[in-house]
Amino acid sequence: MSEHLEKQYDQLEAMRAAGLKPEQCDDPELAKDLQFLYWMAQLATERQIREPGPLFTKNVMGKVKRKGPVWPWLSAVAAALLVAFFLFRSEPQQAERTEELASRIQIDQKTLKRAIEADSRSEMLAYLAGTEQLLLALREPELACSADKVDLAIEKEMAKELLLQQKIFASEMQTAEYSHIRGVFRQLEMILVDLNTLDGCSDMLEIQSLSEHIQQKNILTKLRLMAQEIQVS
Amino acid sequence: MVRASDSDRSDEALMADVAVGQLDAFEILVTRHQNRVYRMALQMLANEEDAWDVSQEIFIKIYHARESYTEEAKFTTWLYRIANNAVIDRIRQLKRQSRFQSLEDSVSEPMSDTADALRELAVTEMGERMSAALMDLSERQRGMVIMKYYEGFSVKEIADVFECADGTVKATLFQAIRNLRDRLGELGVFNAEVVS
Repeated sequence: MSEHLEKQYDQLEAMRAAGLKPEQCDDPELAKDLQFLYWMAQLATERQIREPGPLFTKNVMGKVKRKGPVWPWLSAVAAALLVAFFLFRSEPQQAERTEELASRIQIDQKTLKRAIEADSRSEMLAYLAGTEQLLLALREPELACSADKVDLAIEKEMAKELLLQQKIFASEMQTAEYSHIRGVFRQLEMILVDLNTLDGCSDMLEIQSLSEHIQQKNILTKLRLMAQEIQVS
Repeated sequence: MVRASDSDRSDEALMADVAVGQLDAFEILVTRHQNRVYRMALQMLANEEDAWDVSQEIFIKIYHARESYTEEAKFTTWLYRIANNAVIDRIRQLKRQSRFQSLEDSVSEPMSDTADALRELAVTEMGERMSAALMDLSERQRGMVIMKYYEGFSVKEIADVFECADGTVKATLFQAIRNLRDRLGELGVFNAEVVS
């Protein structure tokens, strides 16, 4: 069937291409077809179709150009919405992470605080032990510079080192935990400052006066009690 | 900027430039093909406004599909394949909206949309009747008839657009011619009597 139609089409087109008149065609039906093709062609040529013209081109180009800048904007908006979505979506997670991090930091801070406190206690104990040794040494100075002067160079150097050692835990001493012993430490600091300002070869009477002050104020007792308290804290 | 030699360049070469976003090349292609695309759309839709709209859509589709075009393919085949599909889509859309009248309605009554001044100016009564008869053909027959007898496409070109064998195009065209002839003859629009 299709082949038959195809053959008839070829015949018709051949006649049209040859410019045959319908009446020259042997097949009456094909003659009608040929006549119809001529009529249709005539109609097509007579029919006035307005050309779209430059306005059409301008419209198309306008739409294409306009689409250009719009898409990046839409993309930007979409991207912004996406970012916002993920931000808001991840906010709880972010908060959880922050909380976790904060708790870790808190743990670290506590650890750090504990370490600092432990270190401070250790420094305090060392400081108190060193200060006790120094104050005991002041009772019976071993070296004399002369008959009425004693050589306090070593004690003076020790006092200087103890004052520096005290600087390490000085901030720790400002906390409420050590408020009740802060006064004793101030007394010890003053004794150390006095010792540090003494001459290398100091007057024996001056040293005896200092030792009496320490004894009167029960500095060594307070110092030992304080050391015990720090050790068990 | 459009170069002097651009207007002489082949469709395929211009399309290669369009593929990389060169609008000047696209403008040349639009100018070169818009009349034919519009005519085809008008023949198939029988309405200037619809033809104008769908023709614009066709070129915009072409632009947006520019990256899918391969230079090995003939540009016009690609263009008219897109055009044909776009027009058929529009016809189906209009049919859903009951915009198309039956052939009887079209030829027995004066054109109902006489307010459409553009349409009145653009087409003759005979043309309208012919268009109405074309509307009674299948989408495939109508597209092939218009491409062959209005736009001068070869059988091979039509076969490429419709992606079918040449023989299928010939058979379809012959059936379409017979249908049109008989239909318009019945309505007294075309006198099929051959005077010997």
